[in-house]
Amino acid sequence: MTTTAPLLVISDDIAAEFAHPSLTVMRFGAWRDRIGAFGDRPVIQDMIVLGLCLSPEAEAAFLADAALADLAQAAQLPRKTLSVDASREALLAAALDFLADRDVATRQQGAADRAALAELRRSHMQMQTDHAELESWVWDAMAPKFTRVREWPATARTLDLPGPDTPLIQPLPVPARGFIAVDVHLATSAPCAGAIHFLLARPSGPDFEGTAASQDIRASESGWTRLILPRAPGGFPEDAVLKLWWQGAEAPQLSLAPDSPFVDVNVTAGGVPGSAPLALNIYQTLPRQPGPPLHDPRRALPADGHTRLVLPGDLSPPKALPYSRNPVKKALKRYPDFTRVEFWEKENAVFVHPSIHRPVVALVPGLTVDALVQIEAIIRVFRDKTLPISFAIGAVPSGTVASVEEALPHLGDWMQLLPAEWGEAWCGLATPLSGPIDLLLATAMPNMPVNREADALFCGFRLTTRASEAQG
Amino acid sequence: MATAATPDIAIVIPIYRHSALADEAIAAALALEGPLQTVVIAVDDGCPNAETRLALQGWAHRAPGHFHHLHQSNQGLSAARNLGIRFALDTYPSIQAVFPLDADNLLDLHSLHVFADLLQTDPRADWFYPNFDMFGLNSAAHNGGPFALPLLAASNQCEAGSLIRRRIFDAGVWFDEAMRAGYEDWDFWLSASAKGFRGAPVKPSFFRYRKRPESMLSGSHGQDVILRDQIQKKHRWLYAHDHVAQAAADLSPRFAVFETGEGADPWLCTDPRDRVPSSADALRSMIWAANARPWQVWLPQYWVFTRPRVLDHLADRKLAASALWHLQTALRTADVSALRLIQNPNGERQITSIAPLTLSPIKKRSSPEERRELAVEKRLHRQDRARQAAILAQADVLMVRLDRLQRFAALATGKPKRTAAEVTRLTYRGKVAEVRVALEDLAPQQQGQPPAEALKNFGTSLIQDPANSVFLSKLTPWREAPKMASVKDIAQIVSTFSLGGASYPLRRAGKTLQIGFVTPIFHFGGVEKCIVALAAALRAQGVTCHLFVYGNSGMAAADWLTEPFETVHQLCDRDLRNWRGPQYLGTNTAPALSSDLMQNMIAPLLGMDAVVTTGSAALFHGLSALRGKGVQVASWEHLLETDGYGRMYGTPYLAVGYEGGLDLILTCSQRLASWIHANGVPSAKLLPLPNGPGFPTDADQIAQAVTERQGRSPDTPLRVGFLGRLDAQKGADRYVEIVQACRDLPIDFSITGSAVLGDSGLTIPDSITRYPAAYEVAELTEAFARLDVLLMPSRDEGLPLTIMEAQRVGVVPIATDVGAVSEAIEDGTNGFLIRGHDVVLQMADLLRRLTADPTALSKVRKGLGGIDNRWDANATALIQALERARPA
Repeated sequence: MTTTAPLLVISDDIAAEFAHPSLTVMRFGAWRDRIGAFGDRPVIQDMIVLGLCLSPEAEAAFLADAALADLAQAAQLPRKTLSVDASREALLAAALDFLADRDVATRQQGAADRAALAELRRSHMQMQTDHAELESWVWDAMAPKFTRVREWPATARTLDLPGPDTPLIQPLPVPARGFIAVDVHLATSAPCAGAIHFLLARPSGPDFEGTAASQDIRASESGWTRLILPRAPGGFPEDAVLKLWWQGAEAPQLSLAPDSPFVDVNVTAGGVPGSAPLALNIYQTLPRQPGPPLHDPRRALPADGHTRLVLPGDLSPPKALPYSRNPVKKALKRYPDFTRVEFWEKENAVFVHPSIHRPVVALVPGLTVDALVQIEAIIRVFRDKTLPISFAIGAVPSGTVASVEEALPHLGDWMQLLPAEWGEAWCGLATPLSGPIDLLLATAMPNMPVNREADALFCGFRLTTRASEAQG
Repeated sequence: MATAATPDIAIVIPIYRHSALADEAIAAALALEGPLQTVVIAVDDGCPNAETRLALQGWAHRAPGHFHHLHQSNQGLSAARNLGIRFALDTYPSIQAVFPLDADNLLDLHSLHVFADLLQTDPRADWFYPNFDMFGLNSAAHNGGPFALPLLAASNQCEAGSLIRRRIFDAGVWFDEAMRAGYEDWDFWLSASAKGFRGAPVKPSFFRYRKRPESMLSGSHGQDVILRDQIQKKHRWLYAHDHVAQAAADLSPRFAVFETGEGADPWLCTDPRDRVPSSADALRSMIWAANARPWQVWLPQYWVFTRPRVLDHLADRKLAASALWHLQTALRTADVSALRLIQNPNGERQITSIAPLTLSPIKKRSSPEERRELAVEKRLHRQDRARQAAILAQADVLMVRLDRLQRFAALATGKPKRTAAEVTRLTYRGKVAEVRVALEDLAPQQQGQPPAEALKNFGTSLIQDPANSVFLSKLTPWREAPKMASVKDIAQIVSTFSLGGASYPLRRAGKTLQIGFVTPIFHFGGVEKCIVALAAALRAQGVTCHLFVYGNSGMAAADWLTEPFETVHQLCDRDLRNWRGPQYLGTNTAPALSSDLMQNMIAPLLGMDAVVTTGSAALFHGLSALRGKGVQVASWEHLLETDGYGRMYGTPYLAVGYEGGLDLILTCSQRLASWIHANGVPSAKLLPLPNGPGFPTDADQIAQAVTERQGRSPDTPLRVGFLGRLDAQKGADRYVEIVQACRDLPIDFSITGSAVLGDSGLTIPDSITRYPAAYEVAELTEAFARLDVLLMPSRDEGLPLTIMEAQRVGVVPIATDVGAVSEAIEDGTNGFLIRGHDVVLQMADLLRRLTADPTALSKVRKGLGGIDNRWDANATALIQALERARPA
């Protein structure tokens, strides 16, 4: 029997009868049977005991029952002693006393809860405000928004992209929290235009809310194709699978990664687990954030007035520009400091180690633009035990710059970062650039005694084009 | 909210002090949505906070029919869980599974979808345990590879917040209410496993564990040693004997063996008798996979490269398991262990482990004066290297640990030039331990690569697909590996539960009783023959026997002696026969052993149900360890010896001294049992096993021998012989005197035997025909066939086997009444007993009478026989005694 009405327990030897529609009244003997009916120890089951009204004899018997007395003490059951000839009014008064005590306790608890809630609300509001500021700081000014966290290479083996009825199911080797994009590899030229639809789902249970999206594919398109979620999921880190299907006339084929001995990473097609996962590149970002407009450098950056993010890993490898004048070339050999330009895969960043004697400039090809008017670079000093480093960025039509001297006039303002700082370097182009371009990434440590551990990184680029006249 | 009349899942939330956090757990449990119905049962375990009851009463108002609240006085977490579970199962017969949710933890909203999938898709799993997804102190660790009992033995893989099928509780498995200090969940999984239930890891997220800097679990970690001890005592079904090693072998063989012959495929085994075919490609793939997920992939822990037929040759001599054990044990201090077969000029068998060379160090020296020292050191270092290279080159078998091969695989990402050099370095550099196996003959030579080359080639093949290695390394899950025992630790886990040593590579077939006989020497002595005869009789009754020779010398290379044993294991160390410990009542004990030797001695015995030790004083130091692991130990006593001053001494004194650590004391005679009882050992611990004949023969042979003897003409001379060691204990000098005293009688005297240690110093007259000592069964049969009377003028004896062997084929024994000889000979009925002094005179007189009156001899001959089944009766008695002595 489950009861939510408060229960008044009256010892059997009290003659008076008592009843009230808001209370359940039970004789002590019956109550004792109820709580003794389960297992080998007394248990109060689904009861809200208001109190016990016991005669002196019943109370003595009650206290002599050690297990029952222990339970009553643990459950803090209120108790009153009444004479055996107590009247109905006396019982009523006892019930009222119990209710009054209970009312006080409930009010006190309620007040405590309200105070706790108020404190939680206050700290929650403060946290929300702080969080928003932090988001703004991190999102708009500092770290890159995409981090490539896993790469599974493409092989010659392929899998047909099915229709919406039986989507491919690819387990993700990252939690749903913060997952923002995935590159899949179109093995052959898409036979016709269509769209890859994708969705982030739980292995068991409902799909992740708001994670359905699609990517248009042009006819004859092939190679890596980026699928970006509208917003990265938040919440606790959870396992997730990616569901993929094709909407269009004739489906393209996706490349598979090498065979894997671990079934928990392999793609499932038509309900049958395969022997390999899909070839993938996986990206993460800040949880609950929309993905920034990430540009795919295999297409031209359109002239639409928008700013797009380009990741270093999507561009061609960087190369260090030489100095053109011979004396400097010779002198380079005598430079005591170390300089190098390379791509850091793990950080997905271009590393341009500065010199204390001269600017070091890296040239990064691989971008085609239409009416490029502004470039920003997300820059970072990777270590904390070094000296301040200056960064600059610029862009030139592809193939027009072959030395540092030629590059320097095209750079924007120099931006200095302290050790372990993030920042932004900026370059406005007086004349919009169109066609293939080269990015110029420069670092320097003027007036510094040494350049030890000067790990200068370019972690991402934001490119802004001028809106076309038709749009304008 | 609708009433859950037929819920599928009960979520049981015990609450003690977590009054506020419980609201979160209850809210999460009540909010679950999915294809299953749930009921939530909150158990107030006598929480001192009134708030708990108010909160529960509030939830009862909010979710009537879906929520129950029970209140009891404080009984502890286990009791609270049990109460809620009992209530759920009693109240709702529809419940399929229970989820104990601690009040400070949470379930994800989609959990019921996960539960439904689990219950439907994995009907064989009995409980489902989550990943370690922590919040508060945020972290995420996965729950390891597939469920494995040996890993559960080492640490708790399964969080209490698991989905538990009803059938486990229906089978009577509950949380132990006495375990209030922690680890009650670990105990619960072990109890369930004991009844044959098995868990399964859940890969998708659904459960959140609140991790605070201080938690109840931290408290139980503080008592880790005590609680582990408690658990190990309670779950002896898993922790006793070598059960953890056996459970590990169930999951993956211990050895991968590559024979270097042409076209030979590798095979896997734990016990070299049980080979599982494999392929090099499959093993390579597994190594790569294990490099990517070391906690998930089960692989053999020891890799063996052997010339063709070497292990077969050892297996023919029942030494294959022992050889693998020695190679494995040697890897505790070495990077590579190398076994070499050599021919023993003594014709004995002996396995000797030699510790790895410690290369001579080269110290940095700067002054010119020290150049000479430097040159010497470099030379010594080179010599050591050369010796090490020679050991590798001459090896017939090599063994390396899995991690060594994984280091090969890890080279895949290196630069090719460096890689080649590193492969060579990994093959030929490092500490090399040698195991020498001396045999009476060598394995027939067959074509095959040297094992070191085979190792190098396999290592090279591991790095030939670097792209694959790099790709596999990217298949790690997003959660961290948990900080608990995993597959990669399995060798260490097995060693830990084998008392730090290497368990014997033996797979138990069914529940056959396994008995190990431990002896410090194994030649052709009487005690050895007793062991062999008893083992043969035990085997005939379905017992599997193993021989453990724990001494400092080789063992007899006679196949008939080792025939009754399933395996033979040898451990050679001079400390195993060191008798320089303190004296107990005038008998020396063995001094304390080093921990390594103790581990090496004890660990292989853990696979035995019972161990019978004969004359191994060193083993007495391991009695408590053996019994602690559930191995029954019996000491088998044969003889009290007499020293030069007439004082008795011998191992029976040690048996008395170590009586408390022994389950049984076996004696070769009733008389010795009485003596030991008189020295304070309860008779219930004593089991006399009266000796029988010491070598096997069949009934036809016996009948033939008796008939031939009876068919001899009465006119032919009486053939009287002495069989055995030519020493004073056996009375060889007395025998010569008897021969001298009987020169005038028509008797052909002979001696069959030799001195144990070189020349006995005895001058044997030409009138005595001499025969070499008889070792093989045919030689022994022949030795008795050429006798009518066996003369045994011994000064000390137990109950000599020779008497029964003689009686069996109709040879009349005449023996001095020493030791328990009178238990085998009833004077004038089945032999003659010579009592008191003047043994030479009495025996000569007796021979004189017998030659004068051949009917006296015929009369005694008729009383012989009826002793053939004595060992069978002994075997039956031993099996029954072990059964009686086995702890409940």
